[in-house]
Order: sequence, then structure tokens, then C-alpha cells
Amino acid sequence: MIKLVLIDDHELLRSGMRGVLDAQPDMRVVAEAADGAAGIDEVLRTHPDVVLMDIRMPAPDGIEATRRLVAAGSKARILIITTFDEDDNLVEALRAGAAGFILKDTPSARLADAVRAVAEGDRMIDGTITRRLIEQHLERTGTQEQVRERFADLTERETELIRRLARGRSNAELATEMSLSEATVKTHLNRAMTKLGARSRVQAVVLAYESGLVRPGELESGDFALSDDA
Amino acid sequence: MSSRVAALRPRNSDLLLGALAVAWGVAEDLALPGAAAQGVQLATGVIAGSAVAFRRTVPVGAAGLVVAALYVRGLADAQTNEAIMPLALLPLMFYSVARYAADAGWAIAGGAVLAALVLVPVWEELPLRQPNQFGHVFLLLLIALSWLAGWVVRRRWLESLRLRQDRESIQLARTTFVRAAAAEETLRIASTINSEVRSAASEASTHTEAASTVLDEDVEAARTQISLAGESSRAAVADLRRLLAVLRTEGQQSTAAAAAHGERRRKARWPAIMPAVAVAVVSVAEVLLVTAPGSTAGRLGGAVAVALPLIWCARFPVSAAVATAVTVVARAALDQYGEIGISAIAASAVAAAAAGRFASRRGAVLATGLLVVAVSVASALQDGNLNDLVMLSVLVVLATVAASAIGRRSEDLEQSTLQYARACDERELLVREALDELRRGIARETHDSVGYALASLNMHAEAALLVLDSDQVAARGHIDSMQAAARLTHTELDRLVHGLEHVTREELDSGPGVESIPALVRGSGLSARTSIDCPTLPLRIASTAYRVVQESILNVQKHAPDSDVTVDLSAESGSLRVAIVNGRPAGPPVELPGGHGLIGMRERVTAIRGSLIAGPTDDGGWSTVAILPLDAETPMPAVRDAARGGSGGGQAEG
Repeated sequence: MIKLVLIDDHELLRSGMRGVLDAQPDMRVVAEAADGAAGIDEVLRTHPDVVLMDIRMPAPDGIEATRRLVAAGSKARILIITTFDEDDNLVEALRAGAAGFILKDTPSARLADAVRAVAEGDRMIDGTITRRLIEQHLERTGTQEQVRERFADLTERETELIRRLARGRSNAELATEMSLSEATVKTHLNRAMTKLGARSRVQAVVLAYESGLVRPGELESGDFALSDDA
Repeated sequence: MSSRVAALRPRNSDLLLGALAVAWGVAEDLALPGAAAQGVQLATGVIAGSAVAFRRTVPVGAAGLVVAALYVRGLADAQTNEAIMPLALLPLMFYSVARYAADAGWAIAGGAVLAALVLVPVWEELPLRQPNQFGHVFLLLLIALSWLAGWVVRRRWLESLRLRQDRESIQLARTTFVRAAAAEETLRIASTINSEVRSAASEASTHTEAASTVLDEDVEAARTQISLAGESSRAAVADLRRLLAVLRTEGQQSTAAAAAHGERRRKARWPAIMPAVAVAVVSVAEVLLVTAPGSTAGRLGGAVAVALPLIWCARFPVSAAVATAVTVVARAALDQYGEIGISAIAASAVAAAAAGRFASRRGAVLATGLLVVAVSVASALQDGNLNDLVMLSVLVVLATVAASAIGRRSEDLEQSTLQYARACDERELLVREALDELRRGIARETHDSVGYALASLNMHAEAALLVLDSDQVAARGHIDSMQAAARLTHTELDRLVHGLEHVTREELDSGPGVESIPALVRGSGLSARTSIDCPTLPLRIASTAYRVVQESILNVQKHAPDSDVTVDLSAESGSLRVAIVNGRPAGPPVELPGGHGLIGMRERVTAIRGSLIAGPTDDGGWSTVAILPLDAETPMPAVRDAARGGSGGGQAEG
């Protein structure tokens, strides 16, 4: 059973989302909150598996709330919910440690699937949109030297895995491409993410872009196919 | 009336020029006695000389006087000696007609009529008889070139003036322009949001209502309606998202377009070799066409020699002039045409023009002096008379002066063009920033209102579908929420679209602002000093400030039109101070302006919680001071700021 907390200042939307998620056999909404502060309290009190967090809401906003939860050592994975995917704040949230984001008008089946993916922790959701968003953001900000330094500690294999992960590969694909077992892939990725200080795969991808390990536009379109439907 | 007389007062330099011309006329009269009507010659010389002083202020009239002097001399048969003074003034007068006439019509008509008056009698040898070796063609050429030079200077000066005014108004009206652009864009976005999203949102609410109606009787029909409602709401969100994505790309495109616009054209350069080629052609043609003693080869060598230094006339103008002077004198000494030769004249004129255009002032004076001496010596060597000498000198000097004037005006024009382009660029940048800010603002607003409502509708539709079979009560609850969300969608859509439109209309209707004040003051014809030192103002304050200045200026015009006025706008401690003060009127004492102007002004000022103080000053003038608080209330601040764009943000938040 996946335990959920909803944080969104829009009551009408929250109740709808609760209806959708509670109707899933493997999920249960354990708490709701209308602002960041109350949300943080609820998360720390109820220890959910996944937090659905609105980005724009009364103090603190979704980004800041994500940062505070990470700082407080919460193990909950944070899924950002948003109306528009053209938002600079989204990259901020991913950098702060959110596991991904999903659009508010997503059909319920996909919403539920995204929550499961985040709970399991080894799949990226909305890969195409996420990467495009990171690329757009990067076009404005450029790569960062201090992020590149973080990759210095990674082994060659770990770096290669992260690079391929950023290209949208799933665990199974990584295993095939690198001739490893899926379990080994997971181990390597986890070790790499720990070295990078990344809480989630998408955060590792953001770092890969920011370091210049992966450059915007260098991906073939075929790369996206599988992960998007995951 | 007094101001019109004052406008006729010549400049000091022209007074000096006039005095010199009069002195010339008198000297000529004394030096060349023997005319039948000596008194007439003296009088016409003095009149023509005096007219020179008015060449700027009454150009056509002054030129007319000089021509008239020529006529009187001819009619009175006063000019039997070699007196040339009024004739020699003609090039300068024609230059002045083209350059300083009140408008293009006067310049053209005045120039044409006067040229006809001068040339027709010369042609017919009646009543004017000028003993001039080069004859009528030379005179015609000289007059035409002078007029043309004046015309060119005039055009460049006007163009430069226009560009400068345009730039000034661009800079002053920048905020208005940016606001208008933002307003236009807002209306466009508002109407697009309305047309793109409205129909999908309406569908969603229709399906929601249908689902609510049929839920109790027919679960399957309700299921269909609920899914359709969900689909419609998703479609509406997709429309909205696409719309905002398009806005985003538009912003990027305009950035790219502006970057392309930033390309500067290269500075145009004088094709330096052309004058040399032209003079060489004239020289060779002259050698081939005019029969003269001496070997053709030697004369051809001379023809090339006279053109050769001109190749460097743009880069080394003074040296080229010196070389030309030497070759002109050398040719005159070696060849014996009996006249100086059109090629030598052309070469001298080109060298003088180049000196005027490219040399320093001192270099130009030196070069011109040398060339005058050279053509005089050449003319004397070729048995030319005094008239030829004077006319050639006039030509050389005129070439220098005209080229220098044209050069100055060209540089001025180039400068103005550059500044104008820069002002355009700056404005474009501001517009771009404002529009980007605007789009971001609207996207934010839309996100938080319509986007949220539609997402809620979808979410409840999804929830209703999930529980439809297991829990009808819960499904009913979700359908109720769908209805609420549908209503909210429409309310938010109305609020957003109308809000945007309302703010925009207000923005567009608010009339001229602070940026229009300098033009207003300039246009009043008063002797006024304007100083404006304030940040970008909220619209109502800016337009109120404009009205206060407008009314006050009107009052000054009515009651003290010849007094000095100061218009002063300054921002201090959260308010704008608008002060219009005029001195004691020169005419009858000030009538106190208690009329509608003052009452209307006070109404406007108090409407935005400002205050107005008006009354006579100690020195017999009048002072109007309005204090306008800068924190005017604004409805719907988020959208309003967005509609206004980035530039006005500072005060609007206050």
C-alpha cells in the first residue's frame, strides 16, 4: 500500500485527486494540506511514501517545501503536480530533489502509474517533457563548473550509466546495452546517485545536463520512445 | 510684432559679410571711375552689399535686392567699367536662397525666378551688359551649382533635424509606445484565450450537466458524459498550454529579429577617385576640342597633370590643393589659350571643395587662399580681366564653403541617423522586455485561475468514473464538484479575459502623458524652459500632469504671452511635483485666471488625491503647483502590472 500526502492550495483539485488516488486499490491518501508549511508538518507526521506537491502555493512554495523536506531527512519521494510544463520552477524543483512532475490534467491511469513509478524509484516519468524542460532551462543558464566536479568521483561505468539514463534509458535497456544484469545496473546507479548527492534519477539527469555530460540536442528522437510510456 | 522684427536681425557674421560687401562696392566705385551714372553705381553697390547681411533671415528678398541692383545698374547704363560687385555676390545669394528660404517652395521658385531675371537679360545682352570672358554659361553654371550646394545642405540639415526630433519623440514617448504595444498584445492574447479555450470549456460544462441529470436513471449514459466532460476539460487545458507555448516561442522569435536588426550599415565613403577621373575627362576633352598652339601630346600631359593630384584630394586635401595650384599656374604659363581653361577651373574647384570637406579649418583656409592666388595668377597670365579673376576667386571660395557646409551637415546627419537607430533599438528592447514580462504574467495568471479550474474538473471526472460502479454517492459528490469546477472555469475565464481587456482599454484611453509635455510646451510658442526629472509614472498621474501643464500653458498664453515660463516636473518623497511658473508679463498686468481652466485642473488633481496651489508670485507673475501622490490605487494588480509591462512596475506597486 502506497501512502500519499497531497499538498495543494486548490481545494477542488485536491478533493478530485484524492478521489482518483483513493480509488486505486494500492494507494491511500493519509493526509492533505493547503500550504507548504502545513504540508511539511503532515509529511513529517505521517511518513508517506509519495508526496504530491503543487508548485505554486502559499508559503512556502513547492520548491522550498521540497528543499525543507529533503533537509529534514524525509524519505518521502516528491512528485510535483503542475498545470503547465513550460515552467522554469519545475527544473528548480527537480534540482531541489523532487522525483519528477506530472500535469494536473493527466488521465487517472497515468497519474496512478506515475505515483507507482515514483514509489518504486527506478523509473523516470514524462521523460520527453522532462528532458526538453531541462534542455530549455540549460539554454538559458549554461553548464556549471562546480556540478562537473561532482562527476569526478564517478567510475567510468557509473558515468556511462548516468549518461545513458539521461538519454531516457530504462533499467532493462541499460542492462542490455551495457551487458550487465538489471540488479548490477541498479547497484551502480544507486552508488553513482549517492556520489552525486542525487535523491532521484531525474535529479541525476538534471546534474548530468548541468555538468555538460549530456548536451541539449545531442539525443536522437528514438531515444525517448520507451521511457515515455513507462 | 516685435518678435517678428527681432527674427529679421542678421547674425553678426552676416553683418560683417554685409559690411565687407558694402566696402567692396564703395572701393570698386572709387577705383573704377568713368561710369555714366557714378551715383547709381555707388548706391546700388551699397544696397547690394547691405542685402548680403540679410541672406539668412530674408534670403529671397536679399537675393532679389542684389538682382534689382544689377537691373538698376543696367537700366541706368551705370556699368561701363569693370565693376563686378553685385554679380559676384550672386553665387552666395543663390546658395542662401536654397539653404535658408522659409520652405522648399520658396527655395525653388525664388531660385528659378531670380535665375531667370539674371540670365535672360544677360542672354539678350539687355539691359545688363557684363563684360565677362566666360560668358553666360559660366554664370549659369556658377549660379546653378551654388543653388544646388545650398539645396543639398538644406536637405541634409532638414533630414538631420527630423531624425533628431523623431529620436527625441521616440525617447519621450517610449513608455507610451511600450504600453501601447503591451496593450495590443494583451488584447490579442485575451481574445485568443477566449476563443481557444472557451468552446472546449463550454463542452465540458454541458457534459457535466448532462452527467448530473442522467446519473440516477442511467449509469452508462452518465459514464459517457463524464468521460466526455473529462476529455473536453483536458482539451481545454491542452489548448491553453499550446497557446502559452506559442506565446513563448513568439517571444524568442522577436528576440532573434531584434538581434538581426542590430546589424549596422557601413559608413558610406566618398568614391575618392571619381573627381580626379571627371576632371581628367574634362581636361582631355578640352585639349581635343579646343584648338590651341603647342603639341597635342604636351597639352595632353598638362591635362593629365592637372587632374593627377586630385586622386589624393580626399586623403591629403591640402597637399592636393597645393599641387593643383602649382599645375594650374604652370599650365597657364606654358600654354597660351588666351583663357585659363575650363579644366583648370574645374580642378581648382574640386581641390577647393575637397579642402573644405576633408581638411581642417586652417588647412581649408590655406588651400583656398592658395587656389585663389593660383587661379588669379593663371587668369592674369592668360590675359584675363579683373572680372574673370574675381569670378574665379568667388568660385573657388564658394566651392570650399559649400563643401565644408555639406560635409558638416553630412556628418551631422550621420550622427543623427545613428542616434535615431539607437533610440529605435532601445525602444525595441523595451518592448521586447515588456512583452516577455506580459506573457509571463498572463501565463501565471491563467495557470492559477482557468488552468486550475479545468484541471479540477478533469480530476473529479476521473474520480467519478473510478467510483461510479461501486459508490454512487461518492460519484454524485464528484459530479457536483465537476459542476462547481465548470462554473469556476467560466468565471475565471471571464475574469481573466475581461480583466485583461478592461485594463488594456483604460491603458489605451488614458491620453497623452509626461512624455508629450516638451512637445506641448514647444508648440505653445512661449519662451519656456522645461525640466522633467521623474521615473516612469502610473498612467493616471502622467495624464493628469499633462493636463495641468496644458491648462497652465493655455493660461500663460492668454494672460502673459511674452513672459518667460518654467515648466518643472520632479518626483520627491512619494509624490510628483508639477510646477508651471511665469514671470511678469510685458504687456498689461495679469488678469487672475479664475476661469474653467483652474477649476477643471483642480478637479482632475483631487480625483487622484493630489493638491493644487495656484496664485500670483511676488514678482508679478503666476505660479501653478500640483502635488500628485504616486501611489494611485489600481484594480487587479497582478494583471494590471502584467498589462503595463516591466517598465511601470516600480510605482504601481507602491
